[in-house]
Amino acid sequence: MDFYDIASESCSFDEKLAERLGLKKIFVLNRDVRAVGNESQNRNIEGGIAFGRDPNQLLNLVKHGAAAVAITDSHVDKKLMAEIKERNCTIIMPMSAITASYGLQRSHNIYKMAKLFAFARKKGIEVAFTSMAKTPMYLNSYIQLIELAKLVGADDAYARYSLSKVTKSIVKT
Amino acid sequence: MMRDKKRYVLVETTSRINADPNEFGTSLYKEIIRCIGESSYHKVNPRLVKLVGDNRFVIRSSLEGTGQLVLAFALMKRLGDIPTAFYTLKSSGTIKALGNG
Repeated sequence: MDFYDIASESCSFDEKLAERLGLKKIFVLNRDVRAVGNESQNRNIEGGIAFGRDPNQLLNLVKHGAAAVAITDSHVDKKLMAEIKERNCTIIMPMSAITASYGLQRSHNIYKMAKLFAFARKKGIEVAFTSMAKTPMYLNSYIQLIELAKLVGADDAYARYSLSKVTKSIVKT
Repeated sequence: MMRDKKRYVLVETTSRINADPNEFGTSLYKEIIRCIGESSYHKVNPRLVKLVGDNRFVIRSSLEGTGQLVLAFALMKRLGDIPTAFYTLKSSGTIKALGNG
């Protein structure tokens, strides 16, 4: 089984690091897959990953063809979730929200992400666990990503499926 | 008495390991406790086995605590005062099977 990850545009790393981490490839935002945010002109959204916390903005991006959504505050908006389900989008869970925070903030993030994950799976929405690392400090090996996925409620089988098939399906190469 | 099953984990750090192995081990255990808590620490029962080169080491844990140990390394981003990331590269039942470890 091949495992994949997605890192932020600012994350520069040696390709051999991906191999050591047990990952087939680490995709990079805006190089391998587009990140779309405040696209007021609604251009070049299709196939990209929508980032944001405003449900209305995300809803607009999903309707215009975003392949995946990263809800930065992990808030569950039922209307947005229904649209994501209808359009077969994927929800991205950035693990850097957990690894880059500390103490109470980290616990809060884990709690919110666990709720979002549980809701998404109940509705049959696919979830991709990615590091979204801004620096190599926040990259993780595939073993660590699986454990982080379990922390927010995934079981071992789904974590592996997500890291292999779901993440790969977002990046259309 | 039944023997506890162990797992050996090969870990790579982003910064050089300069400290004496005993000091390094102590710092490591403190950080692991900080991440997973005292109640989970005893289930993991980590023990530093050996240092490999400048930036790798092998650590042993109980079989049932391996997941918690891997999680702890994902959450740990410093060792003492030095910002350090820990990548768990492999886990195995024997040190030999870790290869480079």
